[in-house]
Amino acid sequence: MNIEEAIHIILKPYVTEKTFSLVENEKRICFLVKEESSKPKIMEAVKVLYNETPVGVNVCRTVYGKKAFVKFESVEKARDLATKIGML
Amino acid sequence: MKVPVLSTSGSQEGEVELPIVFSTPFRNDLIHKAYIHLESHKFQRQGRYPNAGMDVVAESNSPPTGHGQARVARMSGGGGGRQGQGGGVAMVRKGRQAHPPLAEKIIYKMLNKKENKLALCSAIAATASSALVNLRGHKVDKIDSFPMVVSDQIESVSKSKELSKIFDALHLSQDIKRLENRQKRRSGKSLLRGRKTKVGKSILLVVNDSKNLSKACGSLTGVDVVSVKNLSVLDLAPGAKPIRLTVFSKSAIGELGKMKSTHLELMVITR
Repeated sequence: MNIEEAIHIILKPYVTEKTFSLVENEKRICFLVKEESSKPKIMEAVKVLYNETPVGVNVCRTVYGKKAFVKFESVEKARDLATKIGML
Repeated sequence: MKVPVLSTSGSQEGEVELPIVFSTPFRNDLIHKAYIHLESHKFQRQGRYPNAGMDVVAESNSPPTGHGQARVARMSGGGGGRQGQGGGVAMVRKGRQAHPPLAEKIIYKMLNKKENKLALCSAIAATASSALVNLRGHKVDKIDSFPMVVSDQIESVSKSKELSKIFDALHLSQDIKRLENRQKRRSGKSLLRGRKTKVGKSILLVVNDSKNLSKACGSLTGVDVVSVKNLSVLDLAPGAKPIRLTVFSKSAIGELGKMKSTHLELMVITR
């Protein structure tokens, strides 16, 4: 996957109080993604954009768009990435 | 991360350590938002004359029935001409506009300071990615390292001739040539309003002091110069499309190291 495809899959991080606490509690960061994107594609796109390998991903479709809860290996890794992205 | 510093003749002249700004991840959504909002600051408010189409003596008959005519307001008076024609309302010829542009409408889009700063940091960091520069359509053959850092000699150049020689040596002139034969006559309103042709953007030079260099860039198509303190997302991602081919001077890299932002401070702590 090249960076152009990755940009079109991951739209932006979804920041609320609830997703904010997910970083510390569940090692997860929540992104809004393209409606048609699949779980493996999301994992690959995160790797391409942020150089961090995710462990897993859960998705749900809401009125805000498709949410992807991307899980990372440790709390530190999730927290570091969240800081870099500008979530925290 | 270390990148080579190139001399004006194209040879390597040492190395420089990139500041922490360059480790900001790429946030396309923020760059797009910042561009759209900052661009709105250039717009001028538009409005129409508030009484346009209503400076007429037109009344509807009361009661408006029984004349075998539509019930629109009509001009009073006699002697032909406008007399008897509809006027003063939106639906008739020579009447007012239904919803004209209003000068009172606020078209200035506010942007949060921290959001703007993060977008700028992200855009600066993106200049270090060859994939993103390619994505915008720049020609970058034979350019090995990104971002391109050139020695401070470039800041004293004030002649286009000298500058184009430097671009030749740095393999940058291929990107300026890309814009040749692109100037087409545009049609429509933009032509009438004095925007006859549109040329793309090529190289952005980010320097500490742009006094001399800005004189040299005038005749080169698509080349812009900006000093570090005035750097904005508008320069780095024209059309909200990341990211422009950028050349930094060595002292400009030093100035970027002094950049302050809450997110950069947090990044230092997590390191």
